[in-house]
Amino acid sequence: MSTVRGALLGLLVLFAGLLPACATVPTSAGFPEVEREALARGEPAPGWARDDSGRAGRDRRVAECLEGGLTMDEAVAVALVNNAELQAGFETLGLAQAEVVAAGLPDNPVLFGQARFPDTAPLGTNFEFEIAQSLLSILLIPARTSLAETEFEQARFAAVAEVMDLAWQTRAAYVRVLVAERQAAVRGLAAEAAGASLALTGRLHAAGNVSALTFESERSHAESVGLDLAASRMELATAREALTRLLGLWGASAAWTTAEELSPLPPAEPDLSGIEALAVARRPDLAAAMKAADLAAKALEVSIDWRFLASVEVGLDAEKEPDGQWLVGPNLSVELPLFSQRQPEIAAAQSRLRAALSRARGLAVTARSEARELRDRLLIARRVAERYRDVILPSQERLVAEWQRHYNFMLADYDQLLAAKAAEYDAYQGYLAALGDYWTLSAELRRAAGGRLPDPEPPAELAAPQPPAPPAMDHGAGHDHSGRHPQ
Amino acid sequence: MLTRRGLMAALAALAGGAAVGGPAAAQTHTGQDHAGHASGAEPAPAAPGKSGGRVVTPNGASLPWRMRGGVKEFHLVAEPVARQFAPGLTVACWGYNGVTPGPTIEAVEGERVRILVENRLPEHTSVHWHGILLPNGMDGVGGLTQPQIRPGETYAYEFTLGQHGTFMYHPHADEMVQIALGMMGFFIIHPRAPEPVDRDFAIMLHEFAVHPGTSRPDPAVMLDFNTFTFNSTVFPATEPLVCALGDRVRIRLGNLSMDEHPIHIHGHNFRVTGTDGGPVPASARWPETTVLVPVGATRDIGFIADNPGDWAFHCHKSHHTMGAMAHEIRNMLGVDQTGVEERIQKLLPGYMAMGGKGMAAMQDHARHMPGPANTPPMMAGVGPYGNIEMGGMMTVIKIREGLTDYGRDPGWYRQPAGTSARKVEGGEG
Repeated sequence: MSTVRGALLGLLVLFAGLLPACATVPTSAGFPEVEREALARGEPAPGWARDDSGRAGRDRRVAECLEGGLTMDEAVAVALVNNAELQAGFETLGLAQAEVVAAGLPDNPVLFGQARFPDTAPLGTNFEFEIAQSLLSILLIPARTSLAETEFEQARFAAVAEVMDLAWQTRAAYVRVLVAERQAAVRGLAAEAAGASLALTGRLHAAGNVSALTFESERSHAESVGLDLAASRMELATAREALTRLLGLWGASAAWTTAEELSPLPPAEPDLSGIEALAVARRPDLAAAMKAADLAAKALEVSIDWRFLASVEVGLDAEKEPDGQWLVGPNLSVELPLFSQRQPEIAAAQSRLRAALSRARGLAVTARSEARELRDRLLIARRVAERYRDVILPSQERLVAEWQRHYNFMLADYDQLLAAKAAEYDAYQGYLAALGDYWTLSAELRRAAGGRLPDPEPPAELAAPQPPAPPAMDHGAGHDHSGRHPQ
Repeated sequence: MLTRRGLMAALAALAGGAAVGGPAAAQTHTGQDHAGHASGAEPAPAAPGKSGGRVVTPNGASLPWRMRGGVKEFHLVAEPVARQFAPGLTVACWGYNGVTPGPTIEAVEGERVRILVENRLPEHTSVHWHGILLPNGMDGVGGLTQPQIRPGETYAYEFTLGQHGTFMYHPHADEMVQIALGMMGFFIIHPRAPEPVDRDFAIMLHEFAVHPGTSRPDPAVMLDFNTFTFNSTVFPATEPLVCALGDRVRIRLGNLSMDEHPIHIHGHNFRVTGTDGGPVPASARWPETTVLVPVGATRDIGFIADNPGDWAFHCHKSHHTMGAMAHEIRNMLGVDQTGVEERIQKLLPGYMAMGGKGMAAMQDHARHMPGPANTPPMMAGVGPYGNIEMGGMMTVIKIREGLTDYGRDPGWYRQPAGTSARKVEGGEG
């Protein structure tokens, strides 16, 4: 009986030791780490609303940001707490954390019982009880936990990558809205220029000074400018809704307004020479891919380490014979690695590891390439915007001033003067597009570099070229560049 | 109809023998770089070695000369010239001796003249002595009667003057370009006998295409000129023709432009006394107030300055008495811009409705609204009664009683009481 007692005691000790493992699943689900990683990369704090108080906090945050119009940073902040896709993505963290908890638990013991009735004497009922515990599931806890934790880390990096993706998409969408807003406004001015020109030509026609041919030709021009304005407004509607979707807004809050203007070019670029290394070091999707490779390597290790031991169970069996005698004793069942020593599983794990490594390497190549491409495009976009700012727009301004001077001396017509003004508006459209490209690329480069780039210098306040607004009352003699304000 | 004054002029011209003299007009108002001094104080012909002559070339001068071996020798330098047509309009011309038109050459019938022509232009040139009867080899037609004068070369033209009258000189090599840029001048041959003339003016008519905002004449333009000049000057920078009451006045007009110019006098009538073909016989003269000066011709007109006042003297093609104009602009006359003007001003605050009631407002407008660089406004000139609203081929003949100095602008004429147009007050009409 001492053996029996010993076995019983052993099982009890085993279960007692394992019981603490069946703790509850923590609610944080690694989100603080995600938050920390996002903040470290210069993004606003994401939010994960999983209960009523979380949802109330989120709604407060959204309302705060919408109050008085959205800045670009506020738009990103709203998206990071309110975008439903991102929220769904965060649940991957919950799943991964659950996996970690599950990995720390052994298989539950299995209780087996049966009663059998002999048909010949002695006629006592035969009872058998057995409690069995998979020993392997206990032995594998450290390995399984390690795998699950690696997967959890991977999930956290993946969540950070989703945050960064959404942040740049939001920035790009916000820039698109700013560009579209300004372009629609400037198109409106161009349409007004064409409209005023047409109105005056109408007066000339009524006075008998120009023919219907001239008047109708000018109408057709003015109408086409009006259609351009409609296209601009359409683009604005599209741009607004694209951002609204990213922000997860609807109802009254979909009537958000922007609180900032398209920024002028910063005086200098951040140091972009180490951009590839920065991208490889910081990109969360690359970190996630490397964790995936880590996971595959660990999985392979476990497969190899445990290739001879696929199933080990220990148990305690008690049987009451019909004659009333109890037979009690431990049992052990072990799978014999006779035909398979897990070669297929190991081969599969090796494949998975190679695939994961290849994917990580491929992503690193892509990350470097994207960093280079975006750096180059950003610098080109800067040069284009600078060209507009420093050469094209001033030249257009001078052109209008010259036309004004010609008009003043009756050497040019009002329609030529207004057409020059319209051409200046067109050039300003081009400038806005170039500036929009710059800021979009800047946001994308930030994502591709795995976070905000270090500022080169404290940004100085630069006078941005303003849209071709009416100059000061100088009759075209020259423009005061500083005093003008956008229409 | 022959008027008393016209008759007197004709008689005076016929009479001859009257002394030429009087104070010289120092034509320095526009600060031109004169090649010489007009000097009418000396008896004609001018003494050897002295500059100038008896002819007044407003905004210009006569060419100095010296006697060498019995020959009157002049030195003409063909060269690029920066010419101020008016304040605010300086034109990159070609001319002679620093000016356009070139200095007036004055000589006397019977003299032998030698003209050294030095070429400092970037291209070759030649000088044709327009209207002067001379040997074929002296006629100055590049390629036909002589080789062109290449840059850096000097040619001597030498001939004896066998006629008198108003003649011209101009290039006959790349003529289209060189004349379009201002190369021209008077060649005046006085008769041996002094003429009965107190004031003898020479005005070269010309037209340039100086596109708004530019400073170099466009020689490709054939018809659409925008700068019409008296001696390469536009009103109000044209010097007035100052005369004493009763002066016998001759005005010599030459035209090497692309258009004929009907030159009109106010307050007088005149006779055409000569052309570049010679004197017009008295019997063939008739009274005129306008003389059409054809292209490639000269006309001398004579009259007695017997009507005191400030008298306009101008081309009667009204577009030729305007500053720079565009000729393809829309007609704004009769157009009310109310409402539209404000709309446009929102986009262009400097915008102003113009031309709806005529163009006269342009002159005041131009005082505070800048025009293109190097471009005078369409209308200019301010007189005692307000804007004169002219430009281009216009000057003023100022006739005064008791004048002592031809060289000083006598100012605006004070009209005697009761001789001015007056506003008719209500009820009177």
